[in-house]
Amino acid sequence: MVIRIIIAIFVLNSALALSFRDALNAYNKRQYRQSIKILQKLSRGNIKFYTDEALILISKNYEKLGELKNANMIRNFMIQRKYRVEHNEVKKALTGKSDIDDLDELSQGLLKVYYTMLSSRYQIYLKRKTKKNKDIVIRFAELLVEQDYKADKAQMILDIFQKEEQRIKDAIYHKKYFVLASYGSWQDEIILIDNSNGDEREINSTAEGTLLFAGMTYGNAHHEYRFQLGLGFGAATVGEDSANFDYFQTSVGETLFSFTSGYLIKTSDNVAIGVSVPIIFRIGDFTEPENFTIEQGTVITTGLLAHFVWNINKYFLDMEFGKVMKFRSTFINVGIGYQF
Amino acid sequence: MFNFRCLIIAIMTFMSLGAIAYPNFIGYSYQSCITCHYNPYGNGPLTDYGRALGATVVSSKEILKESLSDEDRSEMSSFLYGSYKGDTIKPHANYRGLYYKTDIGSENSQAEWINMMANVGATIRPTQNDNFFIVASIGYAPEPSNKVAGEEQSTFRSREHYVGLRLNKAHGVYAGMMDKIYGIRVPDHNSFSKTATNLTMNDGAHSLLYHVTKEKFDFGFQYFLGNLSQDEDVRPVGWNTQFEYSLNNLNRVGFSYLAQSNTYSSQNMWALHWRAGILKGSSLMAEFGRVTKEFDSADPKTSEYFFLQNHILLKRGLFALITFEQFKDDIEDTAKTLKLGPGLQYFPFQSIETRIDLYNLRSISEENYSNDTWSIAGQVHIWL
Repeated sequence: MVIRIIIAIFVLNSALALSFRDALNAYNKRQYRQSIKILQKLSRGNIKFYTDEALILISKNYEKLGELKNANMIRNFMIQRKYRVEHNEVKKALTGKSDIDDLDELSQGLLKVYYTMLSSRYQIYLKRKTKKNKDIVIRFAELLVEQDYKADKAQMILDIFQKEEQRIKDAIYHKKYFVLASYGSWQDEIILIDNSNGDEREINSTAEGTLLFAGMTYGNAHHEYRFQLGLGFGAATVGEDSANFDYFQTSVGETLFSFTSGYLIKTSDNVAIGVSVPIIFRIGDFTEPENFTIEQGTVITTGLLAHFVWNINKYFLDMEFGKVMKFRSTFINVGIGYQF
Repeated sequence: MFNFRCLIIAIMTFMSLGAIAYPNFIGYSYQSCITCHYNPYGNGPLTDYGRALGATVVSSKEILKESLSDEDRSEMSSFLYGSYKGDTIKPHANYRGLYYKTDIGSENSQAEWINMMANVGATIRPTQNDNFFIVASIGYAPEPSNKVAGEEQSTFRSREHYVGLRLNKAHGVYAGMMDKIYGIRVPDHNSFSKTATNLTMNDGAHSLLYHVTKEKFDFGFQYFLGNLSQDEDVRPVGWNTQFEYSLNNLNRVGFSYLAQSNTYSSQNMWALHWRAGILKGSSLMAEFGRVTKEFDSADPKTSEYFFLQNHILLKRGLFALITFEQFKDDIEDTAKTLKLGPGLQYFPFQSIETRIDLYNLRSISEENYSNDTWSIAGQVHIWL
């Protein structure tokens, strides 16, 4: 008799184990309704006889079928059946009435249910990206990280959110204003025309001075457009390249007006590198020798400059250099600015 | 047995704590040279940590990207790409070659390849740690361009040989032939901050150096007798000091002073310097200094220089850099020279550095006008 009972229990257990496996196989084959039927058969239709594994599987099936209400009902039943007291404490923490950090170590079974809820809620969030859904997912993920239950997977979800937030934040365009004072140097040339025969002579000069700018940047974390208005005062040494002609002046006053527009890519939060196109109006106080006419004493010109900006808090170092047409050599501008 | 994983973790930890580094590496939050170099002011052989840092954080991963992890790279960063051992003797080799073309576009343009240095040497650690060590390097050095007429100089010389003793974490004493501590120790030997101060690669001296390092500052004092291989009358004897203070882990300000003299001349100079990290490897470095030189037969003359160099980390191993310098040979005079040098620096693989700089040189004077000149410098640097 005893042997028969043992054999019966063994056969029954084998049948149960096999059936649960069948339910799992059906779930894996996406036969969700079939999987539920097997599980119902296993428990003779009474929810009280479901094991935790069976309940989790049945809730997953409902979820896949889109019957979220049923899925939640199953999970809530599991929680109420075994973890009511713990869950009440968790609810307080999740609603902000207490700190997640203050929770005691929760039961593994409860954490398993929470993990299922996290996965489920995350799937729901991916379909409907509402703030409410996101907040729920974040709360469950933070709880699991704190409880160190599948923390890596929960953290992965938190990281995805963080990256998403950062991406959104980085894409936002801001308008900022700045002032800049800089040291500039340039070499340009004037043309002296001999009134008697029309001969032209190129006279070169080197100038240096102070440039003041006010401008605006419009950009996000990846790139920016830069516009600036500038006023510069310089002193030039004007010489002559021709051995048979004598023209030499020092401390010749030059005034520069400029409008520069640029495009810079940010290699990091604080460093930008790009190009600028200035439009420069330069006036020079060159002395006109008797019987000669000066050309290019006043010029309007443009060019292409390499432009670099390093930000340190509100201050920045600004460097520009490159070619300006009608100027003989590199236009150099190095300055320190303040961003409002 | 050296633990490479620990080393990688240590590198990452120090980076995040901003503990230590090498001039422009303040961009990675490294502020002082002592962790990466045996010499607390940089230059010379690297410590194990410095080698591993060079192999991982500094160098590109593009070559053998799939087959070598950072841990592997760290492991093979010892001599001749070998792995670490708790050696008493740590050999090193160092080569730097320079291609230099001057006056580009002019009839006077000249180009040459210069073997700047080819050193071999060793760091001997009798106690098998970095608290007590002997550093010696010998090798080829090109003849200086300003060599004394009629004086034959050997092209093989000892670059450095000194004994270092760290009394504890904070205090260290060094004695022997080494570089003088002054200003920001950039490797640009043609910069005005090096040429005006007479602190280029072969201006080391037999000296005694005392160094203190704390979380917030580094202080050094050095007394030197000049290079003892030189004749006594031309050998400059003097002292120098440097103080660097951290405003935070990304900003360091400093002051340097040096006074020296020989039978015929005396020189004293000071500099203010600033290094700032702009994060993710980018940095700003600036130095302003004055040098007063007095010869027996002439009035003293004071020169002034300004050095500004910016590194931009474009991707791991690749930097864009811009150097802007100004030099006044005589502060009483209005004439000055400007130098602008955009460049690229690339570490394609561990222990290999390549660099190219384009220099635009401009003279500004009330006496005359002169055209800008252009030159180009390409460098290959290999350290094993």
